[in-house]
Amino acid sequence: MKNKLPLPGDLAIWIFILAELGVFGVLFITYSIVKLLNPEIFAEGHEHLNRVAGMINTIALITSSYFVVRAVEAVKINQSVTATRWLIASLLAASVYVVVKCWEYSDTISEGYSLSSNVFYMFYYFLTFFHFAHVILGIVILTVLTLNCSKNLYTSEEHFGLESGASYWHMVDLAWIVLFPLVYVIH
Amino acid sequence: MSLANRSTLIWLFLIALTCIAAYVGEFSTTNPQIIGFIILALIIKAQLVVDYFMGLRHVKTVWRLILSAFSIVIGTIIFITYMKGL
Repeated sequence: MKNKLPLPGDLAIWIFILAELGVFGVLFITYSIVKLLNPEIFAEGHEHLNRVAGMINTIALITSSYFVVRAVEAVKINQSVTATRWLIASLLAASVYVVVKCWEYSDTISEGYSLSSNVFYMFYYFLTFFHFAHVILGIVILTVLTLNCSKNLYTSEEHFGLESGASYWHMVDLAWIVLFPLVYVIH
Repeated sequence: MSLANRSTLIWLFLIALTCIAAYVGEFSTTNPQIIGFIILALIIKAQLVVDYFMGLRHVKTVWRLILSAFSIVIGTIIFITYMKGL
């Protein structure tokens, strides 16, 4: 393709996305280095992680991201009602993440592991809660997009806001795609 | 292939790759090949999200490169630090 397409959504959201990914990147690299320096503590901590919860959350976020893609595709062909349904579905999938993450936190805390237990749990709570906060912000954004879409505010010609919000949500998914193997899988 | 069909296929592939990588990760991850596979799966998944979910496949190359670099650089660092720890 010779003619490059414009960025989906607003340039400002892309600057924000790059800044956010930069922060996530620094945290992931720091986690890897600290893990290298404290192999026993990280190996023991990993054994107590709820990998099933991590797996369910990965599927929930990828699915939610996919539903948002379908919503944008529907708006591009002026199907606002269909797009609203896809956005509601994406919110439901995101809610699965929130419920499972709260269950995982309550499980870990009830076992006596807190932020101050050791360096592994400090990173585990900090990294996953930092991401969790982004999911909460993403849910707020998705809710606004859903309401706007239900009011027919997005059309095939004008859907800048929808694309900006969708891009943010995909960034949240992208960060988790790295976080999941780093924290839950590789041990 | 329609856009809907393509995004559905990519979604299914992402789910399948996640399940396979998590399953493989349950086995001895002191094996560099297993770690390599998990990291490769991570990079492929991230690239698919960047290209097809974020829609950067046909935008200015620099944006795609920056987003692709995120998973490639982090994945490589994870791999190197893990290998050093073996």
